[in-house]
Amino acid sequence: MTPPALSPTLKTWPAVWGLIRYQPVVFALHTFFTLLLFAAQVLPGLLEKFIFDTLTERAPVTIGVWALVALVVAVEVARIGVALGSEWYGWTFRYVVGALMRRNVFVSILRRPADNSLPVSPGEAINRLRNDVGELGDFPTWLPDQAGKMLAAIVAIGIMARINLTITLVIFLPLTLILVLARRMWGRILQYAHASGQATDTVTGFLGEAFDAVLAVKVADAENDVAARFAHLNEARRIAEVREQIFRRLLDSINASTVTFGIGVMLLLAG
Amino acid sequence: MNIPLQPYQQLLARYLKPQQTQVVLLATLLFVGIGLQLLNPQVIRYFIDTAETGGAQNALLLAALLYIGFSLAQRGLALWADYVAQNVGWRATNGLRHDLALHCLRLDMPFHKTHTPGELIERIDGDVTALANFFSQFSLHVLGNALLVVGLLAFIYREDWRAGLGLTLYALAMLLLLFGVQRFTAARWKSARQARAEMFGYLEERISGAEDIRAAGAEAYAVHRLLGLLRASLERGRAAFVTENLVFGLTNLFFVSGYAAGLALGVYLYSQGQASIGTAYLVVAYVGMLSTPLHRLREQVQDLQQATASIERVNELLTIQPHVTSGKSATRVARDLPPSTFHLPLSTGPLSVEFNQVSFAYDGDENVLHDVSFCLQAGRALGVLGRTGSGKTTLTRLLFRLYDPASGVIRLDDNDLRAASLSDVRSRVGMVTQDVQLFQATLRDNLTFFNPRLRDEQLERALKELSLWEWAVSLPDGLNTRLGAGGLGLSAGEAQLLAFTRVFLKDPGLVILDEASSRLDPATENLLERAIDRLFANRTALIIAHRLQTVQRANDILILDEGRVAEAGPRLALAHDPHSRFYGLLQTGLMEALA
Repeated sequence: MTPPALSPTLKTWPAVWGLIRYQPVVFALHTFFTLLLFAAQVLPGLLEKFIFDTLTERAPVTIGVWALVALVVAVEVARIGVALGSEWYGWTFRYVVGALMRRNVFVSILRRPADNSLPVSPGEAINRLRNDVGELGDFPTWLPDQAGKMLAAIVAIGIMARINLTITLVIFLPLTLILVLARRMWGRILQYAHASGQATDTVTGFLGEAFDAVLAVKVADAENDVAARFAHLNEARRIAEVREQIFRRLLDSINASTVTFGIGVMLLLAG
Repeated sequence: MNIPLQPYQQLLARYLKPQQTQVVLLATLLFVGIGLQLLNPQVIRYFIDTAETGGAQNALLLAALLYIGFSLAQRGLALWADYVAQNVGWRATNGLRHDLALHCLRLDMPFHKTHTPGELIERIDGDVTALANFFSQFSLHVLGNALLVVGLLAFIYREDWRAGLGLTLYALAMLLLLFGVQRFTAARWKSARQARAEMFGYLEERISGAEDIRAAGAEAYAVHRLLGLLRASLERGRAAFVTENLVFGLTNLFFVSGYAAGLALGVYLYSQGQASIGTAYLVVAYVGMLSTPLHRLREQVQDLQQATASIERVNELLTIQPHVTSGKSATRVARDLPPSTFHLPLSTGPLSVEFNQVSFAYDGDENVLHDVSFCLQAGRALGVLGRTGSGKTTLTRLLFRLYDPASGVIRLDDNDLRAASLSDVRSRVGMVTQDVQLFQATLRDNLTFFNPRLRDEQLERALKELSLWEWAVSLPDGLNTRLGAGGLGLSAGEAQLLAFTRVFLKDPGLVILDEASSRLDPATENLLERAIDRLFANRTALIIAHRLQTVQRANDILILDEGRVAEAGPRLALAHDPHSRFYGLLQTGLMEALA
């Protein structure tokens, strides 16, 4: 298979599409297993409901309780199999397209005219080949993930709506509001993440300078003062890092609370 | 797994003690959170049972509200605990970072010759970052999760002792399984990481040497090699990933089996009429809750293993001792010192310098100095001349006690240098080096070397004395102008002027000037001349000179040749003695002879 020619300036979506077209079968298999995996998420809940209904004899006993327990385990085994399939093809896809990009970049570096040296240091080139190529190869594999989550949500909402439409609506209207709020907070978190990243750069940069100039530090008898400045920069980093982390947790917590909130509302309305 | 506890206890005690109240708060938050976690299913049981038996509407409402309240309180507490834990972790690790950085800065030059700044950054910042969780959470989480497991089991025992016993055995089996599989996956990840490192190592090597590959026409072969490495990386990475997923899946299966068993147990108890439907739910919920704390316990132990590696490296660094030690702790270096020499304060005026048969070699190399002896009286200026590599710079380094001589004695103001305290020596001796290193910081910080006790008025006075004040205020932000990379660049002459100010602020009794050999513009040269005038006044000076103008300031001359004293004496006498080397140097031109 000849690698598709990538244009000199890479545009995000055409590049992603190019990567998918390079390995269509692997990508399709990954998508299939991922969708299945997320759709299967609603199964355990349905089974549980069935068991409790059977217990309280609200449902006709078509199969025994023990068979249902066996079914719970069987569903899990199937889920593990599907998860493995999703991981296997996802991993293969990421690596193969990563290899394609790394190979292409390597070849183009080798083909550069001799007088035209690289615009970045070899260390930075490796950093890009490692991290940036990794990101780009990862991205297409998130698409089925998102689609799968959406699918699972739709199936779950459908099931709930069939059981009790009012409760479903009462739960989901405020949930949407919370999600919008969370989305807004995200921009702020990115800002905090940038600040803490910079604080870290400052700390390590200062440490590097201090050890580069260790002779001068000693000559000036300034070890204590330099260490104190280092501590001062570290303190700034602590504040930036804690702020970022706590905001992230807050967002996670708000997202997770929606589940609790849902259960609580359900209890209130059912009661 | 047998980990000695002592190093952990020491670290925890040292860096957590100052934060005692925060740690107590954290523990309280965690334990209250665990209590709430345990209570919530009880509320739901009550709800279900009340609903099932057609209980009062009010009771149901109360139960539902209680559930929501408990859940929200639990989240709030968790967030608060997180905040406290993060702060405790950062404060503790920052304390350790500070101690490590100071320790490394104080280590002597031979240490810094063998440890690059990059390596030290990794060890001071990287290794310590891996310890944050250990400081803030490890003990509390292990304790908390163990308590949660015990609490869950206790509640189940209360419902039915057989169920309790069964689940206890189940929890133990689970714990063994979790720890067992960890070893299984670790080896595969290691192999995968190695393959990845090899691939990137190859890439870096070949990208650096791209020209050679082109020249040899070996592109095709290089690409072929890369493809082989990429394939190996794919296969080993995928094997590790799949193994981990399989193992994770199987442990999950075990959990699900336990959960199913819990379900069956609930069904059994209910159908036998031994439990209400609410109690059946309760048992199922508790069994379901068992998996999280067990997983957490495993995570914490895994984390401890990683932390152990870091702690070992940190301790290793901390136990390195400098060879050059202060006179204050003279007992340890006193082997070759007469017992009567102890730390003596150096006098405040100009200092005299004496070298007595000093020999020195850098770490096992050939001698750089051989039997160097000379005397410099207080208040006089000595010009040291010699070719590159003749030992001039080494001489100044010995004076600063950056190294100790292999044999012979250096005396400062009649005190053996090794008996004086390092900081005493370094505060009484000032040096202007050839290359002045600037920090990415303000001009003020670069002048004071981050000494917050020096006030702006002192800076102003020093700059004015050296006629540099106008230069300083002409900069974009005055003293707040940022220097170094990304800031204002200084010329070699300006950097030396900055170094002069540093020394002047220190007010030493001996000044060492290693003159920049680069040519300066006339304006800067003028400023430098005036600065040297002020700096040398009423101080002893040792000049490594490159310009005739500076040599003329010397009262005495010392010429070094391959580490030996080739000539020494008063400058005027030597300058008028046609047989002296100095005379010859003056005739042929200093710059050419010493370049």
